[in-house]
Parts: sequence; structure tokens; C-alpha cells
Amino acid sequence: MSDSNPSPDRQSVVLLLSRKTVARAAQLAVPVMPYATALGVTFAQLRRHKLARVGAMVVAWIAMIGLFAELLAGERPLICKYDSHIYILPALSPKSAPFQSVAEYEAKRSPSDWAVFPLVVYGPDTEDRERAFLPPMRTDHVLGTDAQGRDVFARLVFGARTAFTAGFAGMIAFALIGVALGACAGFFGGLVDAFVTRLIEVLSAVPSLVLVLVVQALLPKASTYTLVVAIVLTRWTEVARLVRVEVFRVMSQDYILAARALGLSEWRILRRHVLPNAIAPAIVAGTFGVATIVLIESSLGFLRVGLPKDTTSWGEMLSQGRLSFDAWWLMVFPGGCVFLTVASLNLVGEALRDALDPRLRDAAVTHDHEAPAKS
Amino acid sequence: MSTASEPSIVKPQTLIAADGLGKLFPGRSSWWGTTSSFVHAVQGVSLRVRRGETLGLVGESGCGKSTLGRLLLRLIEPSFGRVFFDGKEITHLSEGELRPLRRRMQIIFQDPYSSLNPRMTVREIIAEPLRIHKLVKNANEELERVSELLQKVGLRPEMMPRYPHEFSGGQRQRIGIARALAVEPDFIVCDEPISALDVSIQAQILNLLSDLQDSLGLSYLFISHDLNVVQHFAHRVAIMYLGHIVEQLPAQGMQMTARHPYTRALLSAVPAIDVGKRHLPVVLEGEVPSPLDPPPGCAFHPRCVRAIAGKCDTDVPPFEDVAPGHRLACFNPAPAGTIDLAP
Repeated sequence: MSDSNPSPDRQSVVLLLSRKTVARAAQLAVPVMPYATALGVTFAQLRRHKLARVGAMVVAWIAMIGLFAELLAGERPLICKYDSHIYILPALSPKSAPFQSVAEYEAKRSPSDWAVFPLVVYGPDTEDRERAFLPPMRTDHVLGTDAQGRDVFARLVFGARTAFTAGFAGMIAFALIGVALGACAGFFGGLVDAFVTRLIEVLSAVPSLVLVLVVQALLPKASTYTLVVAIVLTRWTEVARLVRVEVFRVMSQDYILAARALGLSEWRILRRHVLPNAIAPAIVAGTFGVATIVLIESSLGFLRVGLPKDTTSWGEMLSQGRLSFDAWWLMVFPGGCVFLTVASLNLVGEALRDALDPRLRDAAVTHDHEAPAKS
Repeated sequence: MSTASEPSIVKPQTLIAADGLGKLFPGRSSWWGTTSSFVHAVQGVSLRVRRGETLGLVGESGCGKSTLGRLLLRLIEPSFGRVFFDGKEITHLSEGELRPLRRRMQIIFQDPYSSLNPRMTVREIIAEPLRIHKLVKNANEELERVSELLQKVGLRPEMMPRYPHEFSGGQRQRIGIARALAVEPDFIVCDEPISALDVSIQAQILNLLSDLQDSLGLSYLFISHDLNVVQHFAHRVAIMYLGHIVEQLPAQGMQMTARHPYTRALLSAVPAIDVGKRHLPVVLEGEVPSPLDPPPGCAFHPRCVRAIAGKCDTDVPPFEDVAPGHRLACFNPAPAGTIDLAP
């Protein structure tokens, strides 16, 4: 059967989808793209939630800022011509850069050289003791400088990277562990369930922040990564708990029994029937989890515990603000960043929870009446 | 067909048979995890379903009807007794050995809202069994087969890309039936398939099931608590009470032939439309005893008006033939005759 000539009995299918789509999907064994997926319904609901939309945009922006930090603040240019060579993005690698700072460039340049520098020409660790505690908007330090004369804007940008790297890496890790263990506990039950449940109970009894503090204080080489690992070790329990209960609910549904009656393998039942219906709470917990990790990371930075000295962190900036109250910009900007990020993530999380709640969702879905049967 | 291990219950025309089948669920357990009591869900039931026949299974909620249906399909493991399918014992087959037989016995459910995976399209739902059992060679064939199945149950093929939540209860029930039919079964357990539907749609689904039986030669175990429906839909009726089958008889004329006091109480409770023929229903005293602690003797004796003291409360009545095609478990059955002539 060719694309252009579907058989007559296929005509009816073509009503909703173009003839070509159906024929191609059939040939490629790709499921025909549905026009209203459950996920689609969820996102439609999410889009209607105005605050969540704003929150999602804020989160996306801060994440992008963190991702492209080098392009926004740094001493090496984005692109430059130097010594008759064109260098593209030396900002990303110190080794390939012909010079390491604006000052060096100005000193060594010849008239034919040119360079495009990032928005702010200071790195997060560029110290200048003589220019400490500069207020915002007075010099080329747009948001001022801190006690070591480091640029606040540059540090905010790289602080976003630290916060979001920790947040997203941690979230992915604890969501994966939580979904895997929770699903196993719920699906296999018995001893597996007993073991996982005890593990969850024991770990839930340990306060996250305290455990993280202890781990970071004891480790000889504590870093952001060990911080993430420590957070993941305590945070997966919540996801596992939620997924386990959700798996129990799904397992009592008749479609699981139908799947067994059809002779599907256990693995296929878990993958195709149980998991897709049981991970909604993990998505919500994951969103809130990012916010929690950002908060914990900032707290540790603020307390100056367990993070290496050279880590650029919003919390570390806040703690500088605590030392000198006159330098309000050292509190307002990083504090605002933490607040914006955490509040936005929570807004998104709450909207997701509403959108994924089957009781609220079912109310939004209209059931049409029994269509006339055989006509 | 007959070997020494097969009981007399397995006859050539028998498709599926249970022999002394029972299921105990763990009830309460003491705190160190040993089970101290059991729910006697099904207690030694023997029955058979012939090819092309509908056996109605009637009883109150919690009497073990659904459990029995699931035991026959090996969806739950029996505690004791044996199951035969097409002359072959399947009680101890492993899941792998059972897989080819899974194709031949299917189930449709009461609740059309929980019987379909909400994250799969109608096409995926119906195509999955086709793929698992390799009943289609390629995607084109699969599409044709799914659309054929949808038409068979009275749905339009263009509904394929839709999700279950976009359908009404009756339509969902049809999708569930199409899924069961996909593997071309011989036997379908209909677990209260119409109880959750509106009356007008109940009739549609019953007609559909009946048409399918005629065209495909299906056998049904039709589980219901509605004796009225079963009387008209089934060929034979089995009455279940607290895990036992107390009476089994042809559906035709069962108003006249039923003899077990429980069956007669159920029959008398069927509302009559004809006002002139009004009768007083036999009112059963008390509640169904807990299956955690079933009464000794005949399970029905605490509520039975015809119970004989010293007999019914100590001995279990045997399940015996009293007439051709009529089996009964009662020491003191009522005489055959119309029930609705009570004063």
C-alpha cells in the first residue's frame, strides 16, 4: 500500500488525521499522534494558570542565565581578532584565549585588533581590593561590588549556575531513585516493599539540612557535587513514598487485571500500564525538590559551611551582606534571586499538582453521551 | 479426552470446569506476621461451562462471585481444587505455560472507568494484545484489525486515536469488549458487565454480547447480582451464597423449578411489573455472615426458614443432582412450584 492510495476501508480513519499521516504512521509502525494526550490536557491546564506561567518563565530565564553565564560576565571576550587570528568564544576556555583580562588586552593590542566582551567585563572571582563595597550604578560595576571588590552582577550570574546545577542534577537523581524504588516496592510488594518502606522511614527521620551539614563538614573534599549527593540521599524518600502509594492505587485498577488476563509480561505491565499512571506525584515532588535544593545550597553558602571557598553562591553573597548593613545591594540582589527562584518553582509545582490531580482534571474533561451504536 | 485424573465433571462439550475450587484470603494477622484468620471467599465450588453456553452466576455482593471468575482464569491462585480448560488441567501451569491459553479466555469488567488505561489511546489498548500474541504481521494489518474490532462492537474506527476519558461508560464498555475479543477467545468472564451502566445502555451491551456469542460461538460466565437479567440472558444459572454454589439449574422456567430456599428468596425479590400478580417477597432475616467466620453446616442455615435444627447447622449439604441439569445443596428443599403465589 502506497502513501497516496490508502484502501477504501481506511477512509474513515482519515477524518481526524490527514491521509498521509495515517498511512505513514501505519507503515512506520509509529503510533498515530493523538490529538489530545493526557499530558496535553495537563499542559493545557498549566497554560491557563497565569501565575504558574510567569513562574515557569522566571525559572526558565534564570536557568538560561546560569547556563550562559560566561557570555554575560567574564574577562575574556566572546569573539576577538588578535595577532591576525580570529578567536571564537575564548570566554569559554582560558587556554585558547590569547589574553586573560581586559587590562591585558588593552596593554597588548595592536590597532587592527578588536574584541567583543561580555555584558560585564568582570569574572565572579575577579578581586580588586581597592574597589570594594562600590554601590550599584556608580561605576561599570552595574550592581556594585562586595568586600573583596568582586562584581555583584557576575557573582549573581554564576550563583545562578551553581544553584540550578545543584537543583536540576539533584532533582533528576532523586526523582530517578525515588521512582525506581517506589515503583519496585509497590509493584513487587512483600519483602521488597518491607525493605524499601523501612529504608524510607529511617531516612525520613533524618532532617535533610542537618545530614547535609554533617556530611559536608566531615568530607575532606566537600564540593557542590557532594552537597547534591547528600541532598539526594535524603530527598528521594518523599518521591518513593508518593510513587509507592500511587502504584498501589494503579495496581488495584481493572486494567492491570485485564493486562494480566491478556498474558502481558510483568515488565511490560510495569512499564506500559503502571508507571505512566503513577509518576504524576513524582513530577510535582521533583519541581518542589528543585526549590528545596536551591534553598539548602543557599543556606549552606550563607552559613559558610561545607562549600569550597571559591564556590560562587547566592548564599555566600548574602552572608557578606550580613557583615555590612550599609551595603544593601549585597542582600537585596542575591536575596531577591533566591526568593524569585524558590517562589517561581513553588508556583509551577503547585500548578502542576493541580493539573495532575485526577479529581480536578476529570472535572475539566467533558464526557459526551453514549453515541448511537450500530447504525 | 478422558484420562484417569479427570473427574466426571470434564465432558467433551465442557470448555471450562472447576472441581472443588476454593480460595482463602489472609484475613487478620497477628503482629509478627502470621495469619490468624482467613476470608473464606470461595469454598470448594464445582461447575462447568459448555461450549457456546452462558452460565449465569448470581449472588449478593461479597459472596465470592468475582473471586470465582478470577480463579477460573488463573488471575488469582486457588488455595485448593482444580481448574480444567478444554480438557486440560491448568491449575498448576506456570505463567509462561499459561500464556498461549490466556488468548482463549478473557474477562470484561464491571467498572468501565477503571478497566481502560487512561494513558493509552483506544488503538493502543486494542492493538497491545494483538502484538503480544503476534496476531498481526505489520502495522497495516494491525490498523485494519483494530478498526474491524471497533466496528464489531459498534464503535467507529475514527475513534482510534482518542483516549478513554473522551468516551461514555457504555462506549468504554464496548472498548473493553473489543480488547477482550482481540485475542479471539473461546471463553469470557463477564464480571458484572452491565451493573455500572444506565438501563438503556445495559440492554445495548447485553444485545452486543448476545450477538457476539451467536457469531463467534463464545462461552460466557456471566456474573451478576441481578437475577432478572441473568434469567433472560443465561442458559443455565448458578446461585452462589457465601462462597458456595447452592443451586444450579436451567434458566428457562427457573421461577417454577427453583427449590433452594435462598434461590426462592432471591426470585421473590425480583420486582414484578405486572401489578395484578403482586406477591409478598420472602424476607430474609439478618445479615450475610462474615466470610471470616462462616457458620458450620449449611452456610445459609442461620437465615433459612426451612432449616432443620440438628441437621442443617452441623452437616454440610452435598451438591447433588435432583433433576436433569438441576443440582442442589439442601437437606430440606422447597417443593417445586411458583413462588409468587404467596398470600
